[in-house]
Amino acid sequence: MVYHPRDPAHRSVSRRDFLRRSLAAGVALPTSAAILAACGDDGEGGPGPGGDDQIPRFGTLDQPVTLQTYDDNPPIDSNLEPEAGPLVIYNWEQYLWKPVLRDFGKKYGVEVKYETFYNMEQAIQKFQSGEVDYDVFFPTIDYVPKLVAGKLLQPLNHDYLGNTKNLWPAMQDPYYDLGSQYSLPYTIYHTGMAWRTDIVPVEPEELAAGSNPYEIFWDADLAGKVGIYDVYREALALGMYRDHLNDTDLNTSDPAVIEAARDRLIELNDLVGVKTTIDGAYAGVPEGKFGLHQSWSGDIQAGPWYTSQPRREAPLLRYYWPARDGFGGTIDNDTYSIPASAKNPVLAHLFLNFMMDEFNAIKNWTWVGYQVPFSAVNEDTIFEESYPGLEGWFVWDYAAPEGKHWDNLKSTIVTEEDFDIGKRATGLPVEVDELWSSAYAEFKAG
Amino acid sequence: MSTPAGGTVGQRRWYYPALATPGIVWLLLLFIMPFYAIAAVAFGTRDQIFALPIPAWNPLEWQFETFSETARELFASGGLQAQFTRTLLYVGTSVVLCLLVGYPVAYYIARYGGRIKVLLLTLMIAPFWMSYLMRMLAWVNLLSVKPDDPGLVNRLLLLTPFVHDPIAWNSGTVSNMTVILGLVYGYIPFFILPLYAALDRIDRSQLEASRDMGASPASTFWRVTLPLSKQGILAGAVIITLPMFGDYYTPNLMTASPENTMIGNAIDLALQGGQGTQPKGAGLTLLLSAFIGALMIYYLVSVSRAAKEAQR
Repeated sequence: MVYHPRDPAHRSVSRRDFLRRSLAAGVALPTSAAILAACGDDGEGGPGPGGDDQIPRFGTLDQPVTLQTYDDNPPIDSNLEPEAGPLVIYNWEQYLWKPVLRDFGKKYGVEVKYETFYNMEQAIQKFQSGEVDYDVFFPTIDYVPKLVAGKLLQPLNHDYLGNTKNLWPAMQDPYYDLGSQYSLPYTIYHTGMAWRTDIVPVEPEELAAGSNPYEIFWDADLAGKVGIYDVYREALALGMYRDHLNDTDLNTSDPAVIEAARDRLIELNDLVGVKTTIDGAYAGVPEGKFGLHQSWSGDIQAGPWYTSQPRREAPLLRYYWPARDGFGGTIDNDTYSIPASAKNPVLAHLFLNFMMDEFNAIKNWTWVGYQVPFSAVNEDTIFEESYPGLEGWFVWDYAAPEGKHWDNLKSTIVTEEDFDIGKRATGLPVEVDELWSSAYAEFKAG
Repeated sequence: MSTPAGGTVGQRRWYYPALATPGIVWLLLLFIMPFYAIAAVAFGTRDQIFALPIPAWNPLEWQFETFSETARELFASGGLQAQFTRTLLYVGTSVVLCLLVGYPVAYYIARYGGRIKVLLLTLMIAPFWMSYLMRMLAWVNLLSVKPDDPGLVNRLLLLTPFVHDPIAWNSGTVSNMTVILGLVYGYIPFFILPLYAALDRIDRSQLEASRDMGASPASTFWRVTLPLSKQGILAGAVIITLPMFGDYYTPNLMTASPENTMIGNAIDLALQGGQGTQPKGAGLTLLLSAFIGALMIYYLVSVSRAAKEAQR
């Protein structure tokens, strides 16, 4: 989310909206099974070195990858003096809190500029044109391997990044970039479901006790009240979870599985007239326009702010992530990186290290609304007591009784253990990606 | 060096054509070049890493595989064809509704507006000082059904003996009406204004002549006023049809349902940063332009025919 939920002036388009749009890839060419066979099931590039250097290496949890390094794209030397700046951040709109940037500027005596992109493609086209001098960039994890293969990112020098020890251990060595050679994790979230109990009178415990929580979307009684994200990977994943639960392969290249998921969505449309939205979870459910919506944990966490009567309506909100009960569910993170063309690479490293400081990261989280993966962050320290020095700053405190949080949204906190059970959607080779996007376009054609 | 006389001749030869320069520059910069860029993307290739389009600026390098595939899809059943058919239906119905609603308004203002004509026109346009987005969002709120609030429109309808349960405006068959309502509401002033101008230009003596010849008021309307305002109707229809064909935000805002997506939504989906789908989006844009181009040709032929008849 990119607005500050406390600030009505920023209730415009959120950063997640931009992400959604960027991911909402559209129509594509039908591809043949032959092309797929050529791609192989694991996608291109396996673990470790080898293979063509210009082919992106997409890791999976089962097959983590070390991204390739190039002699002509080395990391910066250690112990260098920071440049004079100004440091230029290139990010989604409103995806970093300006006061945190000011804190950094004050600490190092430099000016910090914040420039924004609309989607990944726009950002990459700018990098390719060579006309830009951004120092810090925020790619999604599916783009990191591509940016590395395109030599658009520089390797990180971890001598400058001592604060990465504050991250959850699992986040220090992510499967898509072993050793965090090129990227550091930024925010984290899982994809579950959010609803209002006055429209959908079900408790999470009931879903957990049932045999398939995803079936709730396919309930004809909820016609006109159900929404999913307008993001091709997320939408089709819902169809897959419906049929395969924890056996779902989020990165499948099997046309039959992808088409079956498409047909599930078409069936969902026939049954309930499903809506595809960009704001249905964080605004639509709290406002009562939707009874049930696919939801990122961070979206519904800010839900109370969007209710018209928080005291009455916020307690009606529920969030459930089926993976915690063995039904399978998606978990994800965004990243920071330093472009190969950065004019202030030392300063950029210092900035990343600054953001790896717990206080700065959590201060930023209070405004951005999406959680950060730090050891100091867990349900008790944050949800019960809040972080020292940041009490009452959090989104979910909005209009809560007696300054307390909303118990009913506690499940939106992402824990370190969630990453052990959640499924990851990784980057896909172009031909496979086309299968996914054309299946989604067919569903969207109605 | 030219003689004074030669200079005068040169000035005369170039003076008036030169007045067209700003228009030609404008057209080149803002129409021809972007259009060529779309064609270059549609007929170009993609890079291997990011699947971003590589425009083919040289027509000799154009590849038509993606484009012909898109065209085929448009004429095959399902998918794109469903969206295109739906678009035709939505636009056609909206234009007819604009005519049914807009004509009496334009007629009234032109014929009976009297001294308050300008005021009436201003009042009619006043809501449109607000952004399109805000007006659509207003409708969304008027129509939305919440747990303890069926929405203002439903509340009014429930007062009538015909409606017993709140209508879910965003689902089922009704959702088509909702999108058409959005389109009509959004575009109708652009239909009324040229129509008003055409009706206002009709010489009253022609109407009086018709009455003097014994025609009834209805007959005068059908045989004199309506034919004389045909160009205004066509102009208004063209002005609203063009943006309606490319519209994607109205269905997005009004219902957000795959059941209501138009061809503009397919283009939007392809162009908004999909991985490798931009050439297809560009191809669809060209196909839609060709279709609209055909409609425009009909309009221009009809205008020139009318102009010839007027000269006779």
